[in-house]
Amino acid sequence: MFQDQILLLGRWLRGYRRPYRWVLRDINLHVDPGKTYGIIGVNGSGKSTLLKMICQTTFPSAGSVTAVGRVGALLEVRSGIHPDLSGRQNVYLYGNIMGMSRSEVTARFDDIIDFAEIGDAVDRQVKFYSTGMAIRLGFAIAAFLEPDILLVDEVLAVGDARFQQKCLERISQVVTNGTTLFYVSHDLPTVEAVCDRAMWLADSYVRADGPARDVVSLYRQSVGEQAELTTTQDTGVRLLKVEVTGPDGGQILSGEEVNVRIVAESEEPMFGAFHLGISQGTAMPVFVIRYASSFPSGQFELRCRMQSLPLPKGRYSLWGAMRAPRGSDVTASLPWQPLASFDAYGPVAIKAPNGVMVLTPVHVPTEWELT
Amino acid sequence: MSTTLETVSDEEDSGLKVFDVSLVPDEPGDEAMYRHRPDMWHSARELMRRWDVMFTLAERDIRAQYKQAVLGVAWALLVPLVSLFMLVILAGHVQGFSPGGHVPFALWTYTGLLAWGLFGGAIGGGTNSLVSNKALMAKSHFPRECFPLSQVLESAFSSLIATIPLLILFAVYKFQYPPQLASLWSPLYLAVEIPFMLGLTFLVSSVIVTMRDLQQIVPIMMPLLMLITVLKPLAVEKHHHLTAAFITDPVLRVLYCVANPMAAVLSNFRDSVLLGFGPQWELLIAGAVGSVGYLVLGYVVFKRLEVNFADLS
Repeated sequence: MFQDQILLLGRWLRGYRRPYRWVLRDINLHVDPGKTYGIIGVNGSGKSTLLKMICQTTFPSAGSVTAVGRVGALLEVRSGIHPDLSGRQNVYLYGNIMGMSRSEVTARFDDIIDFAEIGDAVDRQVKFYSTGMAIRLGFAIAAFLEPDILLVDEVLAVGDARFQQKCLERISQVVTNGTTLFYVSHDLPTVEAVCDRAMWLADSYVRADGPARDVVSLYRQSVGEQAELTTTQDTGVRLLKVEVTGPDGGQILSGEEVNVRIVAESEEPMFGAFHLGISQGTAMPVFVIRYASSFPSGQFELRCRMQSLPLPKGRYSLWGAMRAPRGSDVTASLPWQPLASFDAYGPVAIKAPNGVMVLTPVHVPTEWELT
Repeated sequence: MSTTLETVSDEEDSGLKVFDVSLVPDEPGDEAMYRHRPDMWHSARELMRRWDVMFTLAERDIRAQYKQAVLGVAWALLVPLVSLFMLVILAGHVQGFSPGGHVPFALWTYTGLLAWGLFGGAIGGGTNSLVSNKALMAKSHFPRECFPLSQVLESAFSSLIATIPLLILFAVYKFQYPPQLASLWSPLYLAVEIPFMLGLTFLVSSVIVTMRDLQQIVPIMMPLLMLITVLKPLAVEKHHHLTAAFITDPVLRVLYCVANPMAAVLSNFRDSVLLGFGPQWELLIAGAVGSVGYLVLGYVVFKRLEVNFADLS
């Protein structure tokens, strides 16, 4: 039982030290007051650590961090809430820890309760709150502290859609009042909606830094490439060739026709559906189209003509899957995977007003008239 | 599919910078390494500025502790009485054990328990104060000292309530052994106790973050230390209770008080309150020296280890 400890002690005495890993390297970051800054990247790339360092709760191993003014953090909003205290006591506790005096909290108290929509429950112990109420309370307290620097880490993923929108509005209001915002999220549309600039962290390195939209689109492409590399297992249907072309086999243009040609091979004849979807690199497509038929065993060729491509300029991925209907005894299938990627040319997507999330850009030909 | 970083960054001239990660060195230069040099003066000023957080945390813990307990704050009265009961039973088996001289054993012991309770409560609560408040620590960078200090405040609150049973005990003995005028020396004894209490709380709470072994050690050591300190009096000839004398050699006694300032505090406190003697200066000064030593050691260690708190707790 103690052998491990004794072994470790022996190695330690011989000069062995636990191996360490740099979580962040070579970060050079300057953010002006009142700017909004997004940080994106896959899990484990160092985003939250960077926020903790800005918050000065974690110290860097090398280098320095200077934050001017009061820092407010919206990290895991629920965790600072004490379950045995009432909502009211929690507001004062939390506010005080974040650096506000009692009278400052009192001045904002009604706003906080209104925003959190907890009403009569203020004097109830928080452990009797619903999950949503507790999170709303946590967010409301932090959102009304009016810090000079606000750190937001993945908090909008919780709560219903209406509250999410409300939070986004509150965040943009806080930013309008001159607060500097650091925003960490996997939800790329909100990053685009909220942030001026963004940083893409990948495996502790900064991969890109610049205007939020450009960084996000770079990141999306990389996610698509990663997915293409990882799906190779053989499940009975093999893709032989996938081609995506524009009109007359040329460039792909917004609003013009697109031809998809797929050559595949199936081990057994199957009755099923072939789904195609176009995404911005991620597995979540902008739209999906489907063709149901019986496919012969052996090689077959499937051609699809989309009459008008409803996408603005950008780089997209074509994803596809082939599955037999549920309950049939056909085992061959093709899991949802990227098939090809292509560039579309045409008008640039229109940027939504600040604070409004656009899930995926879609190109809609419009005619306006003002009389 | 080839990466098209260059083409994308060329498309719009908007300040997009794409970095070649292979150019980043594996290790930062030695000059860039962060050295944690705690500035005591600055820390103390910061602590003064955020004084209120300490009270807020103490208030939170007191409220949370007695919430949903049927007896509520009455527990602050009951807990020391139960310890007293335990000690009375324990010592009752020892024939002729009467360390307090003519003073009844219960009264003599409870007086000691009161002084010990302030210290023991602070250590007991302070031990886990950093470990159990990880969530709050990740939120804001207010002084970390607030966590152990809030436990000291909480212990002071409990001790204040625990004086009520002492008054009742005096009444039970029909004031045959009333508190003596020398009780007025008590603030001095408190002044010796406080630095020791703070120092040990800082020390234990910060070391436990990296060395969880203390989580096992402290709950075993504290009752042991309590038994020794509360039941074993320091023998001083003029005070008539040599029967259960712990250390009779005067030099050893002074050294012991440096190591365990609580012994000096308890001995003086009891002799003043119950017997009416003034301070035994040599013990008290030894205790004060030890006490301040513990405070300095505890605080330096605390500030040194501070870097790890948010990550490791």
